[in-house]
Amino acid sequence: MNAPQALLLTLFLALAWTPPGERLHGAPTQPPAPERAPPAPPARPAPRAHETTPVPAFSEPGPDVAIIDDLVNHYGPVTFDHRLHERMSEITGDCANCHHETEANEPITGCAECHPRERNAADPGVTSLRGAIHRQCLDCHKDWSRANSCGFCHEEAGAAMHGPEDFGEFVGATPTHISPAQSYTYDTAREGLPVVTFHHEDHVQAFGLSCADCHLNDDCERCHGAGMARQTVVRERDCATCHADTDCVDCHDLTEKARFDHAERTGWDLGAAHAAVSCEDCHGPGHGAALTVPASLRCLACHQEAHGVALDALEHPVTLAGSHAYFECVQCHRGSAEGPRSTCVECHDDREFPAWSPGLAGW
Amino acid sequence: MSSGTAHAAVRRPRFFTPGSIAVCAVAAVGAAVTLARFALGLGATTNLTDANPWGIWIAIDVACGVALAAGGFTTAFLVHILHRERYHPLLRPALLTAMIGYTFVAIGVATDLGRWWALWHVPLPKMWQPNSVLFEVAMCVMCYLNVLYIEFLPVVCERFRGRVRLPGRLAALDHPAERLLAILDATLGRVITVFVILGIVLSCMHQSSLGTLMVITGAKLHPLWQTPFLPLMFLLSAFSVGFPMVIFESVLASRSLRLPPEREVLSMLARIVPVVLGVYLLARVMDLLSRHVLGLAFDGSRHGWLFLTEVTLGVLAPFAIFTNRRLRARVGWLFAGASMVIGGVVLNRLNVFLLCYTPVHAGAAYSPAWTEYAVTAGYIAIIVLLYRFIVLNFPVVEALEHRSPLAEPSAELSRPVLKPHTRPAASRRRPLRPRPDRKISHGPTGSAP
Amino acid sequence: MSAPCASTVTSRPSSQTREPDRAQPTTSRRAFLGISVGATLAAPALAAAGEHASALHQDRMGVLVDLTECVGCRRCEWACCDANGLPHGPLHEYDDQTVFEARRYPSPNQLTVVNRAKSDQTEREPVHLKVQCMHCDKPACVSACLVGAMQKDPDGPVHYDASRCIGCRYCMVACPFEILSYEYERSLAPRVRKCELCRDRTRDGKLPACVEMCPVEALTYGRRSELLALAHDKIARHPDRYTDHIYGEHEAGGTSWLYIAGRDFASLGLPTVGPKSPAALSEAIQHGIFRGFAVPIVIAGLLGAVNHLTKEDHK
Repeated sequence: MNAPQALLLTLFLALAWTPPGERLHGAPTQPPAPERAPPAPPARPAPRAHETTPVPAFSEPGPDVAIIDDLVNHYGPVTFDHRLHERMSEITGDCANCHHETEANEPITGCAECHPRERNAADPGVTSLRGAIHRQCLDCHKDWSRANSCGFCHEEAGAAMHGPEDFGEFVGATPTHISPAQSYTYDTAREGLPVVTFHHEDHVQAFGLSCADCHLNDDCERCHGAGMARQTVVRERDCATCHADTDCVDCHDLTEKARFDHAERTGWDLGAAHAAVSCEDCHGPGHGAALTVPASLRCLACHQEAHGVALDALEHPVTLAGSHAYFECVQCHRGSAEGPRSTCVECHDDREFPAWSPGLAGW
Repeated sequence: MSSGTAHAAVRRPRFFTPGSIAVCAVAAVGAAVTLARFALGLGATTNLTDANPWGIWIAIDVACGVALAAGGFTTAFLVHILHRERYHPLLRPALLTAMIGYTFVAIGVATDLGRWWALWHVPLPKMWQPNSVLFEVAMCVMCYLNVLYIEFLPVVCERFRGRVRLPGRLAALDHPAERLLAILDATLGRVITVFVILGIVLSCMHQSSLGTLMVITGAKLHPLWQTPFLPLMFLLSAFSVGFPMVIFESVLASRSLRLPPEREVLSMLARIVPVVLGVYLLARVMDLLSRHVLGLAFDGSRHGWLFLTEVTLGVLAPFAIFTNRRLRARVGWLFAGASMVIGGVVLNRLNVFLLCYTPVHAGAAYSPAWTEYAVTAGYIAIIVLLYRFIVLNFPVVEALEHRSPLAEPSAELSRPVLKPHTRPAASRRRPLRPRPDRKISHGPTGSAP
Repeated sequence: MSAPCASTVTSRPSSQTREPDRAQPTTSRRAFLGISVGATLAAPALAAAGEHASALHQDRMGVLVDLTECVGCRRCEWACCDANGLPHGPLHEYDDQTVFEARRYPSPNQLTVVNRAKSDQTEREPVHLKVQCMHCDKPACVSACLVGAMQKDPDGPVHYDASRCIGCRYCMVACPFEILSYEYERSLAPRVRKCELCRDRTRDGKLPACVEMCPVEALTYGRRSELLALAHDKIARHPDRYTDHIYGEHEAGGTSWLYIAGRDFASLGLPTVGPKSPAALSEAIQHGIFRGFAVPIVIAGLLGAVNHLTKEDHK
């Protein structure tokens, strides 16, 4: 038995002695909930993750584990690892993800404070406690794993408790309801150039990263079974995995940095067509090396060989006869495939154009 | 009848011929499958589904059956109400067709009913559900079936009066039976018109309501057929198919019974057909135009082609045939025209009840099981056989009555009860055309003492 | 007219019904009276006279289905079978997702089924659709049934009474949602099978079985009027989450079951049904033709007159 299992079991045994009615928030580490008047029953349906406003995490300590067992009829009780979800919530909507009625800097509102145990026939708009809990769980769980089987959370009578290894199907999965920001800006307190801008979405897209590629030791780890320690991405280390040879000023700046712009940085505008091409298709596999375009991957790699058709027959309007046949594409297609091209008169200023057109007799 | 003497010496046809034996075989198979259906249930013997709860038993046996039995009330109207006595020879065959037809409509319905043993619920007042179109159809068909039996009673009276010979001890009842027949005959003779009128009203009611039946299916029925005027269309098409059915069946019967066809009468009857067909077509087209869906007929879809077939072959072509004096004079063309009208109306009923009824949920399409075909074919075969039997044993077809029954071997199985007529057959002959100097009576009064 | 059933009141769809015509069909021709069939002939007229206005209760009940909440766990299927005494396996068998591969329809052994709509690109997760009898306010099946085996309870449920049924299946032909199923495999006494909105349970103050079971409360049982208000409120509050359409609010003249969803209902497999009950037109035609039994009597009179006049001609 490993550490998390042992901890869970200990918690479970401790909880087993508490009376059922108190168990929903009855974790041993939780101080008694402050007495407060129940808020007006919410007439509105519970908002979903993307509709919530974050509440600062840990405005009060929550329970580690809750055993939800006082509503059961068809199934056994549910072991709800509150701490696990609390930590996962940091990368989404914080506590308000579930505690949707809690205002910023207010004490956390528990489910049972608004949702009645029995459905109120007079007010069909209010979800009962059972419905509310199920909605909260399944709203994410059906997204994550497409799993809607009851046994995923509920225990069969007499069955062993769920351990972290039971959640293996989440390993490597991208939680679809998490919408990280496009970019993050950090104040690194580095003298002179304190601001680092991290374009999260661009990294994910350009390098095809999954969450775990960087957040290896982040909260996710906890669910996915590798260790109990909570660690976030260590920027110095994790960024350097790729950016070992990068100059400081490439990341650090006085102000926020703009997103990487291929045209600005390299003078070659990808345009609409090439923007869809992955970096590796032109620059070759691996990154971090000098970003040049190897000869084998230049224009003709796709435009001639890939299509299996001679370029001039395919689309090139000009017959590249004589010495023109040795030109690099970019000698005429400057700056972008879709941009301006060199015209004849730029070199052949002694010929009238278009009377003398390339390819015509007498040229 | 010109051919009367020529055929006088010819024997009455036997019931069993190679043809009728083949029909008997079909009937036997149908009867066997029917038994299987009642023993094993609908699931085992049909391909009906929740999306297609009505199959060919309803579409053919019931919907087409009702339409094709329209000859009965239309001919009754002609002869009894309008007193067009020249059509009298056609009346009893038409009545007989309607009677057998409706009997098998009822049997067909019972075959299709899941809880056929509860059919008696329908006439129970505590079960009445007057909003139901089917209630109206069922009540009318039930009543009309009884009316048809009553209308046919004079034929039975005529057949047995003066010839009741009960076997053994029952012979003592011969006299009371004769009395009963006499009373029945006399009573019916006086009130038969009431029943004829009742029959026509009931026919109009349920022929039209059969159309209303499918109005409730809404969008499930293709717009070329789905219209609030569906009852009118059904009524008009029933009118239009009445006389063609009489022509069709008369030509077939005279061929089968080796009688000369009633060419003149049929030809005269055929003159009326295009009038009704024209009204039907006009109503149909006006309806389609008013609903702006006529274009759907030409969209090249399956439904469009079915519609065009129905109208072209079933209405336009026979309209052309029956309006042509020369074609009308030929039995072959009469038969062809009548067959087309019948085919058109049959196709119409099939379209409405089956072919152009599209279930909401696109599942597996319904295609009838062989057992369904077997039952339908069997019922049609039994109808044919019953018709043949009754025609051979009851005074239905006048031309047949002119033949001497004595010419037949008395041992013939098919006519065990046929006894020598007490009166000369000629006395019951009816003139083909009404004689202006004589008040023409009909039915039982003709044979009243 | 006779009360069809002691415990329930047969409701007549009202939109097309006219004021009760209490006038007895005066009568038929003298000759009819002595004949028994004459009496039966008058039946439709008598019955039509007994037609009364809608008996639907203002507070009739219904169920609101929020398809954005449904997770496709199929527990409602289990609960339905359990409550209706239909054969069913243990709960965990309903975790089987492979049933979603083929579209399913209610059957005699499953009065409700959940289907998974093919998800479209804009969705985060597939949409699941529970189907069962919609319990129309003006049910076509009730209008169609000739022996009153289908009845609309004033408080919502459309109820099937096998003891009246003759098995003609006209109700199935008439149903615009094509939701009825038939026990074709039973040879002697097959029944039409449909959701009955757990009318026996609700009489006892319980929730319909599926509603009670639904873990996410995608199903809400309540007064139809309140459910409509709730649905409108949800749509107004979350226009990004719901399409502005309550399926069943107007469909087929209104239904007891109401659906709200995040995409259009046709794409989920619910049939597109117009706002009028299919029974409205057919009943209007039927009662129009046979109102007071006038048309048949007029026809009979005309026929009698023609008969008489033409007879004179021949004299």
